[in-house]
Amino acid sequence: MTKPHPIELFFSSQHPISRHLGVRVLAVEDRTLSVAVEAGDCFLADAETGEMHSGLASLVLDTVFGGAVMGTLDRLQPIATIGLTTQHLRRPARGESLICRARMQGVHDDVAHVTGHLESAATGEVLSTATGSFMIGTRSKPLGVRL
Amino acid sequence: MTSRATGRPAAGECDARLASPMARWLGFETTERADVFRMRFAPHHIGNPFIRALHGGAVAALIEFAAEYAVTAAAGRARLVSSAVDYIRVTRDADVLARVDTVRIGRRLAFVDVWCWQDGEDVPVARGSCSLRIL
Repeated sequence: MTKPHPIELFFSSQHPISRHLGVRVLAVEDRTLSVAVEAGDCFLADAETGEMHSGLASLVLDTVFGGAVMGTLDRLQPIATIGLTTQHLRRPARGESLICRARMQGVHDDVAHVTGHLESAATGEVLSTATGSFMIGTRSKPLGVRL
Repeated sequence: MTSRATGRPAAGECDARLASPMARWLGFETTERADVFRMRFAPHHIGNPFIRALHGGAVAALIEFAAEYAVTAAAGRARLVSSAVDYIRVTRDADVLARVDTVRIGRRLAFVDVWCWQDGEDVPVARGSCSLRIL
């Protein structure tokens, strides 16, 4: 049995939010992680207009950025978000297929820096852009210990 | 105060937000203080199952929702443009309270800071700085 990739572990069903976001890893290429997102109606801001809330983008970006960090670590370690800055261009529509792309820019003093965006899968239109920073090696139990 | 976008009164806009699926997912509630809101804990808010810490995105979503709600109540209708969130302390599997401090509400734009805590208002777990477009 092959050992699961750290990113697969990160997005496993044991990660509660992954189930709600409907995330699926598309590609891992040269520090860039691409993830498909099929979010449910539970993130609707307005059921009449069918507009999703911007919080969905923040949830996805934080989740996928964390996955991008995990995917580049030499060994499995817990991480924690330090900061997340997001610009919202357009809100996703109900049922709109999304792709989140995250690029690990580098690690300095155990802090990982990630940039990325959320886009429409159908058109490539950018919906949100973000930068994030993550502490590597928190006091949490290492990933994989209890999986 | 009414929304220029929908013509609905601010109170109606706020009611619609409180009844939205996103508000239910967050467990978003108003409190006796007009500037303070609650995210009632739910297991799907967990980001780290091993220490049962909240997901950073859930806290960011609370900050954004609270910012929009507060500015909508004051100015009619608002949509988030950007947010910058700092995660100050580790969270735990419990409710989060969020206080919205208005920096400026203009005719077209608003700027607010949001402070979040669990154990006490003087022990923040996160802060957010948000800019919003008034519609």
